[in-house]
This record gives sequence, structure tokens and C-alpha cells, in this order.
Amino acid sequence: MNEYRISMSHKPVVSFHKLPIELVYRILDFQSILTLLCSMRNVCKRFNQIIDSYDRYRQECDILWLDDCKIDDVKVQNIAKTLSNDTVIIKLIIYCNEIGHVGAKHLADALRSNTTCTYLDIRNNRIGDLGVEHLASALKLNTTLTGLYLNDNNIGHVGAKHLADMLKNNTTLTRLSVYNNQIGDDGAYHFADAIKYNTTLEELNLSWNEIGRVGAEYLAEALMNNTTLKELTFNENSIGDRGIQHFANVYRCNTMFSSLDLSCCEIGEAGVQYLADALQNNMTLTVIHLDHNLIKDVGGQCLANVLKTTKTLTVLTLEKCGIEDVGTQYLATALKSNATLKCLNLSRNGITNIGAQHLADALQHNVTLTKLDLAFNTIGDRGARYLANGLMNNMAITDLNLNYNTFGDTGTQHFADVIRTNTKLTDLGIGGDNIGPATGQILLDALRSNTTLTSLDFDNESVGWDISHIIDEYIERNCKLSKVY
Amino acid sequence: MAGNKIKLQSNDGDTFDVDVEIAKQSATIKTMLEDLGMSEEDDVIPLPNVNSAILKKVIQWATHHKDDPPPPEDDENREKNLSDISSWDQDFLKVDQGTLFELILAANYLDIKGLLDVTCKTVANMIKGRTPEEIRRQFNIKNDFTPQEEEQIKKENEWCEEK
Repeated sequence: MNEYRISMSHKPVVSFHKLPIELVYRILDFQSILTLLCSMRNVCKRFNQIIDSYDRYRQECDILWLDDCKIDDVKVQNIAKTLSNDTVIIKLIIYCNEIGHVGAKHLADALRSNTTCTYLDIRNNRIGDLGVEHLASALKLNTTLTGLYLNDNNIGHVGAKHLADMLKNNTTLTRLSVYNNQIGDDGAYHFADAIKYNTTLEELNLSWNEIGRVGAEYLAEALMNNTTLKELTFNENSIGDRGIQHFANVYRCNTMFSSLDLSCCEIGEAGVQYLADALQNNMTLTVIHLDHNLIKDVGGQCLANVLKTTKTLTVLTLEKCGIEDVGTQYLATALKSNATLKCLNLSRNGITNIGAQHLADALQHNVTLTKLDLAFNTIGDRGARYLANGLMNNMAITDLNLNYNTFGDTGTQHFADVIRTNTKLTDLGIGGDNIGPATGQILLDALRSNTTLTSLDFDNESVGWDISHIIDEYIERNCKLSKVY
Repeated sequence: MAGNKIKLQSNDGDTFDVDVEIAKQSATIKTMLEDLGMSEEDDVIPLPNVNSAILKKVIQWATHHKDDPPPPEDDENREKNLSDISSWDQDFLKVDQGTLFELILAANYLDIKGLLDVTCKTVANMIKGRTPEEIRRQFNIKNDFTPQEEEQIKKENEWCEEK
């Protein structure tokens, strides 16, 4: 009889914290990172050591995503404790949770001693002015954090004052976002004051903050004396034409800003004129968003003048600006000679066949524009024919959106020729209209010889399942092809 | 092959007759039988790390799971599903903590992946959603942080309660 002894020193181990490390790892394998941080951390020293050496923690926690995890002030306390002496976490992302001012205090305490975390995103919580006070106080001393995101946190002008005081002392923070709070004109005043002194901040987002003309004036004045801020996002503040007048002066002098977002700022025809005049000789702006301002055809004309002279602008978005065919004609004419713009959004305006004809003409000359959005206009069959013809002689456009216009079968069929011959187009939107199965079949036939289109919006319901299903298969094939090659 | 038995001996000296196919769910025993060419009828396999009570539980588990497909290999995709413990296993693991951790050790030593997974999952479920203090209480773990560290935690807690 053979006798085999399997040797292993036998000690009766019957409790969790004495389990061999590889078995604790095995239990950790079944835990979410959240449980690891909120439950297992800080139970005892041994568990902390085990977690520190646990591969998944080291690999997954450098950028720690804990968004939408129902983290409240109690749970965040343990995360903060971890953060206070942690060297793994570089970015902490805990947006959409239930953190209040108490939780913010815990995080602030952690930031006083942490020297690794550079990015804190606590958007969509409810830390309020009191929570901001704690964080701002900690950041006066912290020299590691470079990005702080406080969007949607019920911050008013009092919180803005705390942040402004912090900005006067802090020399590390480069990005700060307080989007969608209620700092108002008073808050804008505090930020303006801080911007005069701060020499580090590069990006500031004050969008949707109930700031009006007065606040715009404070900020504009401060910006005249600031040379570090590269990006101020300011959309959704009702600053109006007089507010924009102040900003226009900033854009005339400032040579740092590369991007300008003044969407939904109640800018009208007069305001856009100030702005366009100021931008006439600007050599730094690459992006302009003026969506949802009623700048109308006059605005189109003013911006066309900017397009003619700019050497830097690559993106211009003018969604729902009340621009009709006349404004479109100015823009189209400018596009013929412009060699910088890559992306133009003119969706939800009043463009008809006439405007489409001007744009189609521009497409035959322009060689830089890659993305054109004309969705939700009133371009009919004739306009669709112009644009399709324009595309036949254009080798730059990769993305054309014509969804929800008024053309039907005839207009759509013109794009079959484009699909058959154009090898540059990857995204085409011609959906939202009534086309029948026959037109669907024509698109399908054209797609057989196309290998470049990877996205096609069409009216798949009225085309019928049979045809739309095969079209989708061709598109999928092209997606695979373009990934392979 | 069907019906062949082997004898497993616990560290208390008790022997248990077990179907070979059932015993082979333990990769440790399987290796011994196959690689070392032990002849099944005569041999007693001593298992010095497992006592009778635990061995009995392990055999009970392996008997119930004898027709299971082999468990999938571990992959890199961690954070596995916690909620797929069968109701039989849930009942089977309604045991005191000492037994649960002994089962984990035994499953690890005998290399029975299915049993190890389900026992570890059970512990993981006991941890999920608890605070560190609750974990300490539940598993009777001593708080061994220094008084200063402890004071800090206390202060923070008091601060929480005040508000």
C-alpha cells in the first residue's frame, strides 16, 4: 500500500483576516472597486496592505471611475480616507452621486495631504456653497490638483467667492469648471477679481450660471489683464448684445483664446456685428460656437467676413441662428476662398433650395471642409440634387448631414449616384423623409459598389425591413473594412 | 469505471468511501490518481489539512455537483458576477463563519475550483455594502490602527454627527 502525505503546515485558520493573501485576493476578485474602497479599506492594517498589493487596484484605480454609484457622505468618507495617503489614484471621478457638504469636507481633508491626485470630478452632486468652502480652503495649500469639476452642485455667489479667494492663492489648478450653477453677476464679479491675480488657470467654464450683462462686463475687464487663460466657456448666460460688446473688446486684444463658445447668450444682429468686427484680425481662434442666438442673415454676413480673412478658424457652429438663404449665400461665397474651416454646422436654420444651391456651388471650389451639417432645414428635391452634384466634384467632405429636410424620393435618388462614385464620404444623413421601397432599393444597389460609407441615416421604416436590413449589412461590412485597412 | 471507490482519510483518522468520479473534482486528488498511478481499490488518500466535519461537507458538495460541466478557466476579466449562486449552494453555505473559512481553505488545498468560487463569492456578498466598522464587527477583526489614526477617524465621525 502506498501512502502519500500531502504536506502543508496545518494550522487551524478560521477567521477572515488570517486567510492567506492569495485567498483574500480571490475574494477581492468578486468585489467591485467601490466595495474595495468603501468596505474593505481601513478595516485593519493587513487588509490595507493586501489591497495596496492587489493587481486590480493598482491597474484600475489610477483613474478611478465611481460615477453614479450612489455614493453618499458616509461612503465618500472612506474613499477620502483612502485618498489621503494613497499614491495610486491620479484621477478621481465621482460624478452623479449623493455627496453633500459633509462629503466635500472629507474630500477636502484628503486633498490637504494627498500628493498624487491631479484630477477631481464631482459633477452632479450637491456640495453647495458650504462644500465649496471646504474644497477651496484645502486647495489653497494643495499643489497637486490641476483639474477640478464642480458642475451642477448648487453653487451660488458665496461659493464663487470661496473659489475666487482660492484662485488668488493657488498656483497649480489649470482647469476649473463650475458649469450649471447659479453664481450670477455677483459670482462673476468674484471670478473676475481672481482672474486679475491668478497666473495659472488656463480653462474656466462658467456656462449656464445666470450671468448677465453686468457680469460679462466684470469678466471682460479682468480678461483684458489676464494672459494665461486660454479658454473661457460662457454659453447659456443671457449677456445680450451689450454684454457681447464687452467681450468683443477682449477678443480684439487677447491673443490666448483658441476657442469661443457663446451659444444661447441672447446675442442678436448688433452683438454679432461687434463680435465679427473684433474677430476680423484675430489670429488665434480655432473654434467658434454661436448656436441658438438669433443673429439671422446679418450674422451670416458678418461671420462670412470673418471666414474670408481667418487663417486659424476650423470649427464654426451656427445651429438655430435664424439664418436663411441670404445669410447662407454670404457664408457659401466665403467658403469658396476659405482654406481653414473643417466643420460647419448650419442645422435648424431657414435654408431652402436656394441656399442649398449656393452651398453646392461652394463645395465645388472648397477643398478643406470635411463636415457639413444642414439637418432640419427645408431643402427640397431640387436642393438635394444641387448638393449631390456638388459632392460629385468634391473630395474633402466626409460627413454630410441632411436629415429632416423636405426632399423625398427624387432628392434621395440623387444621392445614390454620390454613394456609387464618391470614395471620401463616410457619414451621410438623408433620413427623416418619406421615401418608398423603390428608392431604398436604388440606395441598396448603389451601396454594393461602395466600400467607404460607414454610416447612413435613411428612413428605414418606410423603406421596409427587408431592404433596410441589407443596407445595414453593407454598412457593417464597410465599418469592418475601414477598421481593417 | 462507474462505481469505483476510493478512500479519503481526514486528519481525525476517519476514512470516507467516495466515488472516484466525485473525488476527481478535486484537481489535487485527480493528479495523484492519474500521475502517480495509485490503484484505486487499495489506497487510502490521507488529507492531513482537512478534518472530518469539513471533509464531509466537501464530499456532500462534490456529490451534488458531480454532473456539473467543468468550471470555466479564470480570465483576466475580473470583478466576477456575485449574484449567480444557486439556491442549493446558498442553503449549503448557511454555516458558521469558521466552517465557511475552513471550506475555503479546504477547497483551495484540494483545488476544487467550483467550491472555492462559490465560497469566496459568499464572503464577498457578506462584505458588499458594509462599512469598515460593520466588517470588523461581522468578522471579529481587531481595529489595529494607531491611536492617532483612530482619533482622526473619531473626530471625523463626531463632525459628521454634529451636522
